Amino acid sequence: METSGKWQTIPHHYVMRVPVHARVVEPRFVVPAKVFLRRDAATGRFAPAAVFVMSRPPAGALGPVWLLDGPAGLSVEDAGAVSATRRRVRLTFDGERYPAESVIELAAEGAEQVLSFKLVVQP
Amino acid sequence: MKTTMLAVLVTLLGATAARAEVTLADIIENVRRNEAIYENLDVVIHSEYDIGDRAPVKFGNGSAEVLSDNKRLRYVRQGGMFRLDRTGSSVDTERTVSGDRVRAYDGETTRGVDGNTVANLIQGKQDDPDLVRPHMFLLRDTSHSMAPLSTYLSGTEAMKSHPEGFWTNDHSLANTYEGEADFMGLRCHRVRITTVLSSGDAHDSWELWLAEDRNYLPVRMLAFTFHVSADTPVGDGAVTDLREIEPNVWFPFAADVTAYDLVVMKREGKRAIRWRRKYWVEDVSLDPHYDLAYFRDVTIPDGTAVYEIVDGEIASSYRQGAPPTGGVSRPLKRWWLWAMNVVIGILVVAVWRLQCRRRRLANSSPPSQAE
Repeated sequence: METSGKWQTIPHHYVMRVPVHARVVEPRFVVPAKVFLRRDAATGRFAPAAVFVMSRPPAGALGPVWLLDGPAGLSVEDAGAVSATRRRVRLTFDGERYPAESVIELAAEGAEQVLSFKLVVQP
Repeated sequence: MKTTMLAVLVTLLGATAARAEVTLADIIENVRRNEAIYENLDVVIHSEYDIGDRAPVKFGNGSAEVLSDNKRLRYVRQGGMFRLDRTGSSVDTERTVSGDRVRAYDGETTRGVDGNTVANLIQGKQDDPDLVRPHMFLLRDTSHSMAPLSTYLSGTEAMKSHPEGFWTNDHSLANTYEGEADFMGLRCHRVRITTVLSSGDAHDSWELWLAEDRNYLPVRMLAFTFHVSADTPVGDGAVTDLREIEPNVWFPFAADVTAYDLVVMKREGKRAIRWRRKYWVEDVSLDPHYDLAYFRDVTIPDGTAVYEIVDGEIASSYRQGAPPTGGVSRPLKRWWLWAMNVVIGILVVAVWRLQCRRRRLANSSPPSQAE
């Protein structure tokens, strides 16, 4: 087989170097990092929101999630596991007074670390 | 007293009504975390490309413009492995070219076959340019479509250090957050990705509208090339069908992207279609469960030229199904063999010509002597 002619037939992206680099990723985290709570135009109340608690291998699957810390009026409801790596959590807020931005802390069965995200309440 | 109470009330109301500022960093982090939802993916996508009603461009270098292109691809990403199976073809002014391709990575080796003519066995992972990232759906036709959107938004250094960033050193990124806007009833965050030349001039820009309640997926894209126009997009795209595939998880099911002719726009100030592409999704799942064999077994048809690539270099090559020739040949060694053959050939010809000359000289002796 002639190699000199065939070299040119390889798409260039096939022969590019394969770089390797380390990337630090949290084993468990909340999606998204910043949640915007907005008022429902129809009801005038804050519309409910949802977040996901993710668990990347080698961290194991998480159990139910509950609220550790957050502003008064915030309710957190674990909606169950969506997959082996993801749980869905519903947020509702009916507070009268609130900071523009606060850090919400969650705990989950099977996780030693505190899971946190930012909550932004849009007036 | 009343005034004081009123002031306190106003201060309190002011505190509760304060509006938190949204930054590009907030958006990048939200995109990055939402991208993780789609880490494992099994999707079948169709794409259809055409150049509209215009006449094809004639190139002086002998190449022909692609007029239409239809492809169907299945892309599976699972636990760091991936497999892509693509079928279809593209038509230019002279011929139809197969777009069939398979590429798979099993955690150790990337195996790929293009059009049943060339196969690569690559040490390590090398994803396919057609890989699917839902957040890059509207940028699939761009040269940086392989990188995650969060990386692209993060800027030059992030792109340089990402294996799928493929960033050139003479360009840099100047990305900005442009505020909120509504699109088709969706609350969106507008971000701009601007490429800056080494001269410091901004060359082009993508404006993406990310839907807050749709996992920050871009639902609208506007492309600008500044030497043509700073205000009129030279291309645009939109997700036309967005579906909730799991509670609170959305996926772009259809999208249209159109590019306009830069010359016509610059010369005549109007938009004429240069090309357009439609995408639509046939099927999608975020929970694939395939055996290792699915990511390892790639059939290489007999007759295919196979190249083994290690550290970005061709380490060996052979033709699939050909009888073994005493082990795998190395291109460098084969080159020397070829050169040796040429030298030997030249020597043989030289010796033969020398002998012929001597014979001719012998035969051209004076007749008197021969008689």
